[in-house]
Amino acid sequence: MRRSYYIAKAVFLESLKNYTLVSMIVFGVVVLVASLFLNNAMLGEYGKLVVDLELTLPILIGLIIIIFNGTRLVYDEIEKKTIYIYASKPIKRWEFMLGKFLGLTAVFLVVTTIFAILGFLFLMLLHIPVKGQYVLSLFFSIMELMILLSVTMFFSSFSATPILTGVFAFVIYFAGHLAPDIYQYSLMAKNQFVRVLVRIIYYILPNLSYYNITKEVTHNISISINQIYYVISYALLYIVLMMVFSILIFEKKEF
Amino acid sequence: MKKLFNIMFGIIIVLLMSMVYFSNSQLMDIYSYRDKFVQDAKYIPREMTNPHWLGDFNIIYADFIWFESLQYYGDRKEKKASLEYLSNIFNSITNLDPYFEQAYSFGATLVGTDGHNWKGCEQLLKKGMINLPDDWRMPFFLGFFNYMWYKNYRAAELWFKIAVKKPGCPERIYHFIPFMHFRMGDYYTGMLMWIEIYNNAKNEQEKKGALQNIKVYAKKHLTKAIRSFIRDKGHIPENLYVLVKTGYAKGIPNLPDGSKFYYNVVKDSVLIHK
Repeated sequence: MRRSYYIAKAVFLESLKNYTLVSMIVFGVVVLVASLFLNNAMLGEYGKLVVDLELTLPILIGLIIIIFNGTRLVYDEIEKKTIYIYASKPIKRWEFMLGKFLGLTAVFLVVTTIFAILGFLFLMLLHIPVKGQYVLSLFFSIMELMILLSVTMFFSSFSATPILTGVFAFVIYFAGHLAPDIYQYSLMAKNQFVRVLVRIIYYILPNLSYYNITKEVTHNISISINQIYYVISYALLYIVLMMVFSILIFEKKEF
Repeated sequence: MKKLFNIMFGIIIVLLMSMVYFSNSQLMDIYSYRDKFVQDAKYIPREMTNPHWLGDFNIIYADFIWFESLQYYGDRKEKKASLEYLSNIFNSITNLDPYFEQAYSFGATLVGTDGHNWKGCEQLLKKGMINLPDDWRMPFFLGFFNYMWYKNYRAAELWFKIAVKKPGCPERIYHFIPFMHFRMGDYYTGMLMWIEIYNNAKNEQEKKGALQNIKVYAKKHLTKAIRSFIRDKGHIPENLYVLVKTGYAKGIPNLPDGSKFYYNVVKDSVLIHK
């Protein structure tokens, strides 16, 4: 675990040096500030817009980080031959993968925390009440990004190029949000084979729609404690499974 | 060869520029931003604005359409142009964000008043009632529009009754119910409601207003009963209690301030004796 920590630290520091992260945060801040111009044009719904932006921007930035950084986590090490440095040291492959995963998760945590603080300050300046549920929504966003990162790492463990991994991650993101529709389709399909096939696809895909609670939070709709437990356990199970599969594939990979 | 190529190139550039210049005004008409938005919006059936297609960004997209719909409304209103697609736009917003209360209540008001689309307005509010079952505004607006536009006082009364049962509904909304009875000509039920309002009033001003209404409703009820009595019997009643005995009036209220009703034959009207 100690070795995973050092790899995670290296990933985190590298991401901080990367201009993508900084530029994304600047972009988010600019969007928040630019929203001030819409204050009078939203007909009393400006507060809602600011809350929606605050809760959605970390996801957008996290997605971009996954597409640009997450897909290259393993690929760059192999391409630049830096993987041999790790191979020459007593670092197990699972420690390497776990470290990479934890490093980028720490980046999501930092981005979300920065946006939470900035957003709450912004809301307080505009005299919009800050609710505890916003933190829950941001926590759900981090879990969603972690699931997507684990899926990305799974694809990057066997995919030939980071572009292909990025495409897979992008498709999985939207397919994951379509999970409720896929389930509905499995109920409605007339053909038994199609019904079973669609149901299998539904269970394989990560159900990311669980993690989108922005509208409930914005409109003060209560979220049950059972839902929170379920969503957390679902995320943990999915991440563990994806990481196990990624490590198993990565273990067999030859450089 | 090179000279010929340069001439050809020049001619093509001039032709392209003139095409752009002459088609510019038409293009501006067809593809002006707001018109394009409307063109897009009308071709989005509300069933197609599936929030899941947009991942986590459905709510931001709903905000964007909300902003655009207001610009579209203002722009169309200014040009006195048709607002027939308003209902479609607000349906799209509420598909993306089903808890957006303003999109239902304000949207339905615009769809009904300016879009002249009562069916769309009603559908939007009923959809709001399904998605926001604890919100009093949807049934209230349904009641209000039934009363204002369609003079359907029975339906309006029913919607107001639903609205007052919802949490957070202001007490004054209850006043609409006796008023609907007044409009339907059922002055007695309306009067009983005002008596209830009077008994539960928390301040003097509310009591004063309720008492005023009790008097108006009671007078109307008794006057209507007298007219029916004269029409059937051919003479005026000896007193107001005869109306109750003969079944023409359902009752004569005891006014809380102690004053009594009496029938003034000379003025042919029900008056109050203090």
